Amino acid sequence: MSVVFLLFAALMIGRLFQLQVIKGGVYAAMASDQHNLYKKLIPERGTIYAVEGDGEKRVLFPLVTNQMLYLVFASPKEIEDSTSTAEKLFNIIGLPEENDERIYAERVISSSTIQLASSSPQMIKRQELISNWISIFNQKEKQYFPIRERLTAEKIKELDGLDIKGINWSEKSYRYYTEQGIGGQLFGFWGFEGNERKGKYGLEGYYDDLLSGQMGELKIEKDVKGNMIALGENEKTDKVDGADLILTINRAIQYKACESLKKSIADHKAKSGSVIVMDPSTGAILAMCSFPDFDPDKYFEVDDPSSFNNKAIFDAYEPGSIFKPFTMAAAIDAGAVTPDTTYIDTGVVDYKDYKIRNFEDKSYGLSSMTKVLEYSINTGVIYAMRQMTTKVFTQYVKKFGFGETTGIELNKEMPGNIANLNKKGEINTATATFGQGITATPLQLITAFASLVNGGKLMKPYVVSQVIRNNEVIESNSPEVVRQVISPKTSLLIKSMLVSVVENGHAKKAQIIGYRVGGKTGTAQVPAKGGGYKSDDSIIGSFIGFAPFNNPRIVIMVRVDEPMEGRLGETVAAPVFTEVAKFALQYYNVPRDK
Amino acid sequence: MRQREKLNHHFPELTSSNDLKSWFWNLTRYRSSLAILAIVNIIAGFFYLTQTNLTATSGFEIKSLEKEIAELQEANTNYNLSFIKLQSMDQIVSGAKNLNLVPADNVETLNADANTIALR
Repeated sequence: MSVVFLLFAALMIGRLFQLQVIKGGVYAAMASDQHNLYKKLIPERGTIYAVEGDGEKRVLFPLVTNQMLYLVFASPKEIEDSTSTAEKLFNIIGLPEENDERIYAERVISSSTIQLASSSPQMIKRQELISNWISIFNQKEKQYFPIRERLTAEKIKELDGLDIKGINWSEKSYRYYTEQGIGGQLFGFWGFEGNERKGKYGLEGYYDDLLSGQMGELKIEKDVKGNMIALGENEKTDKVDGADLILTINRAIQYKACESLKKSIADHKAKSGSVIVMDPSTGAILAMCSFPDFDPDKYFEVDDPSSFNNKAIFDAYEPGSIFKPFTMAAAIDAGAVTPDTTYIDTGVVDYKDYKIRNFEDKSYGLSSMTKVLEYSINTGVIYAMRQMTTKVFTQYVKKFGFGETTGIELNKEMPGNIANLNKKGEINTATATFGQGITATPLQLITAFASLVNGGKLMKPYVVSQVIRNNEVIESNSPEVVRQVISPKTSLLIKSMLVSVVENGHAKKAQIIGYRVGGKTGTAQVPAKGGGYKSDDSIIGSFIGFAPFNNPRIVIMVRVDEPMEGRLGETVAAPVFTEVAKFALQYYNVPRDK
Repeated sequence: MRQREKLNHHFPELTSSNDLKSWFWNLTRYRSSLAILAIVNIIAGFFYLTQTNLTATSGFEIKSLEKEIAELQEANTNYNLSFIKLQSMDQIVSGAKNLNLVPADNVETLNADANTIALR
């Protein structure tokens, strides 16, 4: 008897050892799940602000902020009456907004139900949706089925009032874009990396860590009903909300720039384009817009991921004649030429196996350097380069910042390519003088151009002026001079020459009544995939300009790719400059200078 | 005498009437101490219960207030969003069209001299 008792005791002890020691951790965790509630405290993502007004009257306006919406889901297992549940649910949430009449019509054609075809489109959609839901609700083995995203708190209150069994919801934070179609590529988007949400491309990508903040954690003891026990042991690690970005972007100018670009692209049936507006004295970007754009709210609908790239900073291209002012400024600064230096243009520069000609094979005879820019004479800039030598020209190209990224706070900036300048043979440098054989991004071009008109200083471009958290500035950008590229005197001379281009030369469409405007057009060939240029007369039309002459307030770079109508930079790009510049000068109350 | 023997049996040290008095006095003091202790315990228990109850009630009040704060914050966010929506450029442009407003053209900005003053 005592042996049996001992054996029984040993068994009991063994079992207890197994439960409490070997599997103790597992059971402790299971018990913990029953009486503890762990909650991740999700930080609110930072807001992105643009500015409005100027100087002391400057105010902030959110361009990207957050909106708390709800995801409604069904738990079919808990639903008692599928039909009544589906109908009640429909009465509150109705049809999805995205429902497209065209798609729907196709469904009607394919439907053989006479009753459906004879009903109103709304009724048919309703019936289709409800029967879909009923079939889902009848799948009792399913525990979770998402029904509709982005429902407002009002709708959820209505649902709550009805107390429908098996229909539940969860809160979800969404990015809210206050302005539609004004710079998706500038903002980037808040997407997914695995199961985790991450900022991608643009500002969202570059500032993801700061915008995200830090997750908090809450551990509370709960009672049988799942409510928090006030006197229980609670642990809390506070969340840190994301920081806010204050941009240098001006909302009104950004809107105007995007609208003007879109209009030009539509009018000229162009493939794509971009526009940048900059304050030349500081390097602050006032507007940056590209087309085709994407809606960051519906980034998942984009077919071609290359649409996420910001053309203004990513898409380096052969800039063509808008590069000529840089060549001329370099030659003047090096003391090789003056605006009045003349040469005889025969219309061609002869290299061994290659002849470089002017646009439309024109020859201009005796020409000054000012005339070279006014009429965009290729042979003239080659002459200027020869006066300063290829070595000096290459040095200036590098000093202007070509071939390296500007360091702007946006993801995916490209450096362009000036490798041709290192090749042997003058012809590579000769073509570079009028913007062929080298590539640059619109941002590099506008940054370098700003140095031509601001007294010769290459400014570091920036788009974020401050990063703030809880009203405290944690990061700030201020105007930064990268280097002095040309002298103030050269800057003054080249500015005057560029004004002459607009008033007397090939860029008359850039004129603005009351202001002395300077600028340069560019009509570049489009490189073909296998090398050389496209043979179908495709062009990239550009215009880069500034206003007013004294203390330029703005510089604007416009690029329009492959327009089907209007084959010159002056026709497709200069009007965008004029529209935006006129608006910006009025907006900033810039007094007339002419 | 018998009783004393009985007491002596339990408390052999009590041998005189003085000892008995002292023993009785000690017993009374002992009982009083017990009573005081019991009263203190009761008061402390009552205090503990009251405080616990108060804390629990405060906990629920805090929870309810936190919920109210969250709801008000959400309402505030929604009002802000509605406000922002109404201020969007698309709204302004369509509003301007509805009011038959046209873009200002040929705007001239003058440079105000610091010494310039309005006379009337």
